[in-house]
Amino acid sequence: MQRETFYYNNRWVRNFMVATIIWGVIALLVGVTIALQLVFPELNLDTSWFTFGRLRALHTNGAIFAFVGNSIFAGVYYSLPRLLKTPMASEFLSKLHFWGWQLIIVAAVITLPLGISSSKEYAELEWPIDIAIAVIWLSFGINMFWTILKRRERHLYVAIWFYIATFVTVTLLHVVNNLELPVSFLKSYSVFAGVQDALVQWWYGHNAVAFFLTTPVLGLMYYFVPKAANRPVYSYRLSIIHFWALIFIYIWAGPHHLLYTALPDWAQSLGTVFSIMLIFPSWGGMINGLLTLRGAWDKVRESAVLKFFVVAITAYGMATLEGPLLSLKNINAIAHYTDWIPAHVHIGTLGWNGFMIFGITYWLLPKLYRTSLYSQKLANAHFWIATLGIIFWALPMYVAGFTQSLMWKEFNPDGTLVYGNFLETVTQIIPMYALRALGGTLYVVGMVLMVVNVLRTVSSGKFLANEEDSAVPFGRVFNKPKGEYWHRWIERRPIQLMVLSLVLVLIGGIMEIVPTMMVESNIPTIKSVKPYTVLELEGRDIYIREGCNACHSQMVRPFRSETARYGEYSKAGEFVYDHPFLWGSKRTGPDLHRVGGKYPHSWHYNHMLEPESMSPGSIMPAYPWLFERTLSTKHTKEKLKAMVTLGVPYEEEYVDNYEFYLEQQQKAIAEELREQIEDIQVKSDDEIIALIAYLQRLGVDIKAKDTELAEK
Amino acid sequence: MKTKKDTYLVGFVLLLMLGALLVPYVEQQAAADLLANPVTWIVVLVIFFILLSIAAVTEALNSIKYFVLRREGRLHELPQEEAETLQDDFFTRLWKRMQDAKPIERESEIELDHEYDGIRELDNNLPPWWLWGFYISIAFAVIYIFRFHILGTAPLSAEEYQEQLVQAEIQKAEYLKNAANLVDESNVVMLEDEALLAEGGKIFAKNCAVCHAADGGGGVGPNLTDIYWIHGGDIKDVFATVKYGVPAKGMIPWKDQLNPSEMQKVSSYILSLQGTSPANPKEAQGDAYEAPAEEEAGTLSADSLTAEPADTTTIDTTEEK
Repeated sequence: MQRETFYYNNRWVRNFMVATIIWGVIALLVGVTIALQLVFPELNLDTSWFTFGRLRALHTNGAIFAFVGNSIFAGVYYSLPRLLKTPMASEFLSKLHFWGWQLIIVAAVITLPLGISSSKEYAELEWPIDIAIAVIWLSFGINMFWTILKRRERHLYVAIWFYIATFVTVTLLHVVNNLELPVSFLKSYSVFAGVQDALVQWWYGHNAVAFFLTTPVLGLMYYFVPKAANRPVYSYRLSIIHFWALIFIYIWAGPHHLLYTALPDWAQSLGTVFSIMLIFPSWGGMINGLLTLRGAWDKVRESAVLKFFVVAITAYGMATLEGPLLSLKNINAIAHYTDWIPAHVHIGTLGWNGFMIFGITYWLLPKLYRTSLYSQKLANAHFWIATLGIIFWALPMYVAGFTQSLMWKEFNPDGTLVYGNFLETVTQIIPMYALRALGGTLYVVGMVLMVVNVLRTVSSGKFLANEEDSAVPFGRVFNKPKGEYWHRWIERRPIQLMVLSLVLVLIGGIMEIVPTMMVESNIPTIKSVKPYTVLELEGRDIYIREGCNACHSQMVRPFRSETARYGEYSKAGEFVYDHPFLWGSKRTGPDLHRVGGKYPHSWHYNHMLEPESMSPGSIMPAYPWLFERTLSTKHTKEKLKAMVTLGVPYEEEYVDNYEFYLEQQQKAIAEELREQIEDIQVKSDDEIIALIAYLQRLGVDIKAKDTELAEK
Repeated sequence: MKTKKDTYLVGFVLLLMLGALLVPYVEQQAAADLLANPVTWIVVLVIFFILLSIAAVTEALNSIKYFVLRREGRLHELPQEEAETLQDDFFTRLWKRMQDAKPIERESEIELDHEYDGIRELDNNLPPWWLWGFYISIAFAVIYIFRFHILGTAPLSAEEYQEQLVQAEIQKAEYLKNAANLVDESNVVMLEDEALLAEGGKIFAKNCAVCHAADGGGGVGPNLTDIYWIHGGDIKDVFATVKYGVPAKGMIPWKDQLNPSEMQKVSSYILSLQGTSPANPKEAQGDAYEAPAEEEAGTLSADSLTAEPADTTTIDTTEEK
């Protein structure tokens, strides 16, 4: 075979890196903004598109899909061709991928602050954008596989196994979790309801962490760490075992986000045990990364790149031990809904993802520009500031989470809650929120140093757009060497490797989701639970639009401390008409599942207009626009029809005469408000009326005395 | 390569797993008794020492073998690694065994014959601590499912909750036997003590001032300083209004957030505001109320909320909790 010369296209690598840095800074600045909003609620500016509930989704999506996402693509577009000794197969697909992805991010930046959201965490984008994501993601996958098929290297290196598993699994997760019925161009309802929707969502949410923030980044680790340290990978057989074990086990662990909820117990238990079994497969990656640096520790002292890698991998190890421990019910009972969870998540994103990205940037950009890094000192300064930033971020949040949880659970000897007023437990931890904002700011300052360093480096070098390399293609005939390791077989069969990955991830998904959908006993029906009225349904959409579920859960767990505070614990049968479910995952404010009927309409009215008027010290934003805007009924009928399609039993007569029922309830509420508040200026078609209707409905169906009987 | 290190590890892990298997039974009384019995622990210790002795003797024999071999000049027959290991102290040896890594100087022995873009791979053994950790986590999973879903010895969420409630009832009953926090709207009396009224004032400032103004002059809620009352101006009426609220008019119930003694204090404080002059008094609402002269217990006014008959235990109003 003749040696062939070819050129790697570095343009898309460079473009994705630039996008990583730009979006990274933006996503993190949004993060700092919302962190400050929790300390100074006036920073919500009484402006709809600037409130916490909407910006939080922008921050999470930005950090995951724009910051980490672009960095993954940069890393793959650099490492994949070099590991396969062939350029990326399609210039068109690369281009489509890059610009398509950026457009999707722009679409997110526009729609999320506008409140266009499906409410499902890390999948908030509405259906047209979901379709765009699927198309662009496929273009990436096709480009990758095409490249693999054109390779000059017979066997696939471990990094590529991770890329392949990432591609198939993310496709699966994205499609299933975003199955939704469009109502209008920018509004849809999840086809799943209540418990099932929750399970699908957290199967997705957990595995977005697993297969978007973990497996592709492990792939990058397997390329860039041995490259930067110039050391061989520690153990090939460890790579094999931990790769397969990781993808197989990871997919099962989703239900650990739903411990003590209305999810059936068996599913919760699967979530717990598979999380525990996940510790060692995850640590396999950590060991292989850290031990690859054996014999290079002297370099770590000087090199900022290796420092970033070491802390990144260590953070990965810490987060993947903490995660399984949080999946134990007794620990989860303390940590869930508190700031402990964001602390855990940020060890992963700021530590593992962020530091991997910084390490790769400092290593790769000078290479692309055929120069050396402008300043090692500045890079080291970045490292220390960012490390300090993570510490300031995470430690106060651990303290806050623990403190608040204990306050929630503390009883007086007479059986009443010591902190019966939820707000007391919030004001207690605001200093911690301030420290957290400081930590985030430090982290951003570090990134600014990187931007300076990168700009100086780039301007001192010359971009190498087409990089020459040469290799000998492998022949058709393969003589299997004697004593070949069994796993080599699949390493030269990319399609089989992809299919096997898919089968392995399907097992866990099917085993958990299908029985929850099919077996009736998993969700006992409750006769008194009725569909929302049309006004309540519209109110619910306002709740979704404003992102209320970012701070309020709707899931009272079976703890004495919760039933004493909120009322009867939530039952699976209460959510059968909830498309999508709105259980939430964090209680910055109190749970709302039993708020219906707890306060008079006037309380909600005043509270939404000016939270501090009813709850002094509250950090909730004010929602003045709900009092100015008229409830749009443009799509109301379509909404009802969509619900009927999804199996919600609205009578035909009700759908046809929805306007009558809507106005009837609007007027009744407005009338009550006028009685309760003097000189009130309220119109019955104000948005606030719909929201009050929804809030007053929450959790009341089951308050009827005959619930127990109906349930059996 | 199966060596004696692995054998020890297997033994150790088997023991651990055996112990773990007992966990499901620990809750049962018999198992608890067993664990409490000193004889059990003596037996465990004896077994442990026997195992330790066996290990020590094996080690010793091996060392002797090593010295014998050396004397005969056949050191090279021992694998080099093992020869090196024998010179380390116990912890270094343990560490090396748990790691089972080829030393860097000799890693070329296990370097694989392929490379990808210059990246080479070693073929180190799986670290034993990692592998056994993995096995233990799997054993944990099996036992966990077994306990919760097959044996049913561990409580599921709903059972756990019921148990919590039972415990809470017991604790509460225990407390109430001795405590006197039993003020309710049928037996509440006006407090006169300045210190207690001051505490009531604090509660008022924290919870009530938002709607009724800091000086009681009213705002969203009615003026509390005049003699006009919508729901009655007797201490019992005020207490009941605070406790149950008037949801229809926007007054929320405080019974879940304040305990009876606190509600008594704040109600007394409110009544102590009678006749003061607030900065921005709200206009009068409701009916004028006049306290029955010299009648301390007070009679129930017509519009006071119906209350359940109370336990007439001695009332110690100074008791705070």
